[in-house]
Amino acid sequence: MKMTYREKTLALTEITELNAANSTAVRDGVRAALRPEISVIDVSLALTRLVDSSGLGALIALHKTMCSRGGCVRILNPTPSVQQILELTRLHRVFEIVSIA
Amino acid sequence: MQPHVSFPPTILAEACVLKFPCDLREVGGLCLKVREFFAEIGLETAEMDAWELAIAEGTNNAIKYCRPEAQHVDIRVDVLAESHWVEVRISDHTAGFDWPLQAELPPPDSESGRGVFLIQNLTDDARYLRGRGENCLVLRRKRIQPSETPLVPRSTVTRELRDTGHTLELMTEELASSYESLSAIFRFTADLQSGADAGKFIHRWLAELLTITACDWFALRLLDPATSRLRLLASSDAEWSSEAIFLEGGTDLGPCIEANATLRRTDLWFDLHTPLGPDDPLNHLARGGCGFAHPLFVRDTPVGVLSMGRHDAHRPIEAGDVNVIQTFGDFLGLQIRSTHRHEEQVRARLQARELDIAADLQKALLPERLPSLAHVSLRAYYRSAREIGGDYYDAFQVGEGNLLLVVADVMGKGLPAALFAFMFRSLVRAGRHLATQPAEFLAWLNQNLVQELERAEMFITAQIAFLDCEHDELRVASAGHLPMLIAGADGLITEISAGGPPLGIIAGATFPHTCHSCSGGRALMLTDGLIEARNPNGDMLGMEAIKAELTQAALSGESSQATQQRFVRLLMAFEQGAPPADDTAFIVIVASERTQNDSQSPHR
Repeated sequence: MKMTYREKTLALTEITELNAANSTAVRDGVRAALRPEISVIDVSLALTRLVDSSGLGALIALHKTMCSRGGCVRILNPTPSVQQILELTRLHRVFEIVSIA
Repeated sequence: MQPHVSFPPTILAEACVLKFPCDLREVGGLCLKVREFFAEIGLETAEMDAWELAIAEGTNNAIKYCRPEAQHVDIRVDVLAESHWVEVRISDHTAGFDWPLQAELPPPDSESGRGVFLIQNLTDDARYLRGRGENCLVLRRKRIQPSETPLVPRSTVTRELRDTGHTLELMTEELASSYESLSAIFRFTADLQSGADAGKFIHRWLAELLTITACDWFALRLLDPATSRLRLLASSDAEWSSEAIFLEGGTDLGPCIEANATLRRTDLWFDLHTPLGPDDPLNHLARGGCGFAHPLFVRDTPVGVLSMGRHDAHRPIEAGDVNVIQTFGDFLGLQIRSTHRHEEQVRARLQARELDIAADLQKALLPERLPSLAHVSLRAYYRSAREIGGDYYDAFQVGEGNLLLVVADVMGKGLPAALFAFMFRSLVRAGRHLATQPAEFLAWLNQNLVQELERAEMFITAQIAFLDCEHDELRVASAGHLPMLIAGADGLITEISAGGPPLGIIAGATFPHTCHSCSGGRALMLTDGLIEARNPNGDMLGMEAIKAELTQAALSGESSQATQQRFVRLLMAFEQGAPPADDTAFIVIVASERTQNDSQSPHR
């Protein structure tokens, strides 16, 4: 996973899996990387093969963190299988899902 | 690589077995391997995505909640692909989960609780089989495109297939055992309904359960709710007669697993790591092996406990067999409870019927009317306790102007006592030719009853009095009975206690008799129910109170009816409503010229 700062946005890219093995590290790593000015986290799931329930839990934890500071988490370009899981678990109502061509 | 199938040729199947360490970091690699296998057999991408996530969720749980002592054991995933279905089995060594019928999504801000929901929604059928050694998550999903021809695995995944034969064998065994247990239950029910002996068929079916589950022993205890004890009903060792176990505390030597399982309402296991207590009765059957105690409930009420196990502690009972035992045990509990309830109803009906018969006998036992003589007045009283007893009194005229009076008490209660009282009455009526000689009469009654009474281990106390009105003489003989009380007009009491042994004790016994004047006197013949009447504090009325009352009656010169009422009032006032523990019978005899008017009416 790669983290990039763009003004008030922290962009997470090159995520191949978000699962039980790495979800805690991702959550804690991102929280630690949050600078005061960051109000948006963009999570790119364009290359993500699998997000399991632990991975969803990490995304929700970050969402709650950002809500508490008046910000949000956006999901960018999820793969069809990940998009399906977000919809199945109705988390597409929680996250802003953005498809950028 | 050969296909590892033993199904009929019309069913096309592929299988693989994957084992990997109990480590979350291994799950990704596992999923890739399974995906590779699915790709080889032609599953579509969407199917592979669904399976990959479902397997990831299943294995995550197996790893995250694995018992510490089992973390060195590999996680095993069995995959079976048929032409229309794919089945995946994930074995875990956790304490087991309560598998919901349909998992709900947690609140949107919850960071956990979506795993089972995903598994259930990504597959067509998800079941969880719980066991001691291991649990098993069984997932099935219909294939989007059914395969028409078997595909031979080509990649490195095929190397993992060497255990597939074993996997299929296990699956087939479990299917077979499920079929066996189901058919056994049907046969069991049929046996029950045919009215077969309950103990025998329970033993037979538990023995069959041993065969089905490859266990070595069983023990079935039923809970006696009255004593809170678990009593052994059946065991694989017919010679074993284990004592009953207290629910609270187990045996005299300490707690035991069967009582604990029933109290805690859960299966309790034992093996090398958690052995039975040294004094646990099940050691007799378990012999250091492994097994478990499964409490049986019917609508939340404990009815017993079924324990089964194997002598080889290294051969734990597998999840499938555990399910069979649990299912069969629960069904058994239900059937036993139902059978016992039926038996209790029959027993209650029989007891009620017995009481009805005894009550009818009792009514027939007592004389409808007492004889009426010119100078003698009689009154009698009888009251039965809760159960029908064997108290008896009788009085009939002998010749002209003479009376025979009898009181007796058959030891015991219920139908046997009533039957002997009835037999005694018949003999008294049959032997009335001996009425003038009470001692000989008792000897004759004893001879006629001693054999039957001895056989029944019972006896009768009796007192016979012949009142010769013409000669003003009362002849009394007694067989172990209470003394007769006679009060003169001055109120002084005489106890007539001479007598021999109770009837039915000594064959050939003889009985003395004594003679007394009765003119102007007042006599009381009674059974022990009057003397032993108790008040709510448990105090006994006693002979002295009765004698004092009889003195008062004599001094007052009252009628026999008034004296009878006097004793009834005494009894009621003393008992203060306490239920009588014994039958009570007495006869009041007033021999006086003044009683002439009394004798004109019937007595009862």
